[in-house]
Amino acid sequence: MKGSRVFLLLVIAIIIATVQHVNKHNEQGDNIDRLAAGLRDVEKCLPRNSSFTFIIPETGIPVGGYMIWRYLLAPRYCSISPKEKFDTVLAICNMNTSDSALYSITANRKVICSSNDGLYKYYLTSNNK
Amino acid sequence: MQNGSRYIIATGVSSLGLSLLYFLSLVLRVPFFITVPAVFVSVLVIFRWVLKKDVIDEKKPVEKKEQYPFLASVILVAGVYLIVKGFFPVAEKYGGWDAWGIWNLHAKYLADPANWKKMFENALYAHADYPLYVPAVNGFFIRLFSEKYLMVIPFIFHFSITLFIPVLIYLEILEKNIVVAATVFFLFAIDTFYLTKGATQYADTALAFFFLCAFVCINHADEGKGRKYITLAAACLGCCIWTKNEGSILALIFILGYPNSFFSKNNIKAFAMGLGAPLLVFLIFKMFYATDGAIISSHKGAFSQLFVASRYQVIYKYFIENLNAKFYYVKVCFFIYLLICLLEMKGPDKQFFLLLCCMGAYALVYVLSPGGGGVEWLLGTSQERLMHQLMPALMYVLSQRFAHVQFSLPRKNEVLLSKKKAF
Repeated sequence: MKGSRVFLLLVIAIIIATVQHVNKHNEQGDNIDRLAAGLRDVEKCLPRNSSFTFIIPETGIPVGGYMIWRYLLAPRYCSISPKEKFDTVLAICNMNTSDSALYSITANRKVICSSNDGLYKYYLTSNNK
Repeated sequence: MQNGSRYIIATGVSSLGLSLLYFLSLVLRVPFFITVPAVFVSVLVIFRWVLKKDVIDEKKPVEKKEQYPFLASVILVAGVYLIVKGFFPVAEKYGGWDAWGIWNLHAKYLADPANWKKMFENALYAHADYPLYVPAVNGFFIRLFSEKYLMVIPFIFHFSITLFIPVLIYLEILEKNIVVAATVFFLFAIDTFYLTKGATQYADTALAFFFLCAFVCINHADEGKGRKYITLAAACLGCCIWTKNEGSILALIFILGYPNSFFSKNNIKAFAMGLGAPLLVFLIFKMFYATDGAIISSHKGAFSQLFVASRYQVIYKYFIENLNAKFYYVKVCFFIYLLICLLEMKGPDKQFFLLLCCMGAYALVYVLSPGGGGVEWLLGTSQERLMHQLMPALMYVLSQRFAHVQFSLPRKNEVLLSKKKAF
């Protein structure tokens, strides 16, 4: 077998697998795509070199959520450490969050932007009045 | 070495060159319009050098006659088809948890020259101490083609590696025994666990690939084909180091296993040429950028655990469970190998012992890891991946021994002779 032919076969296989993969629909991929779409407005308001505090005030949000949101918002630094307190805070809540919970996120803070993806609501707020 | 194998190894080693150059360009703040041509020139140079035919006596290139070329091609196409078909249902679109939690996250940081150091601020669940071979390759292409291809680029990388491993083993064994080569190739192609691990987009399959390449290259170096294969084997070990932290353990054991090949007067320069660059970049990364490793930094008094028998029992229990559930055919091949050793009245090969040492070293890491429920959690989350890292090299070593056993198809000449006799 000629090496170049083997290599060509491998390249063709890689192209076919990639095309199949891109056009594939699966639960995980579609969920991440939806979260990415919901974060588009937030991304516009957050410069790429920014650092911010990330909070999830309610329960009921998946455990891996933080890691997915951090991945989608990289290269920004997304902190969940209580020791680090940044001016800017990104709060993520379920769609059916109660008004009192929303008030605790936005009270005495400036809302820079808010959006939702059908599953979650995003509130980007800052200390600056 | 088979020509096809050379292409695969050239791709692997040139991706190492790409990764090192790109990381250094970030460290030194080299503009991208300089980095891109430098990377492509280095890739071309590596390809040209690796693809050059093997020369033993400086006069004629080494060419081995292939058995059944048509059948070999059909098997290759069928195996590749099975891998493509088997990969599709097991691949998550964005890979597994660690893909977007660690590897592709790091790639995203490295794709941004202004903010890549922010990666090291992530202290929680991000493992900023992990070496950067995979993230740097993906980061380079994400930067080159745009962040729109964030999902596609890591997929191409990991699928390629998953495909290269069985094809490389197949091509290398093909010269010796087509039946064994085809059997091992199809075992990989239908192994859902192997394909699933490739599809997770973790760095374990890349580490497995480079460790396998090191075995392949050192075998060719031992056949007396020159220093080129010493350099390639060393570069592959360098890549193991630059891919994952445990790659350092594998590389160290491998180097200690071949002191005469690597440290002889004739070969030491070639060895240093292959290992020098990745080792240097790895040290720069570890000394100036990486955070402390979780297992090492959070644990004092580990040595007292060496004498806790229950730890060994737990590790053994998990090992057997994983072996039976996920590596069943490896276990069967292992026993066949032992049987062949017994029948031939010969001991196992040196490479087999090297792999046993690697498994032993991994077991030792678990013994020394944090106490409490820690070890069970570690074993549950990582032992199968460590076994996956060693499995391709082990299958290659075992199948090399199988290939010498005579149960191959009759050679063409023998078929013709028997037909003549029949007439």
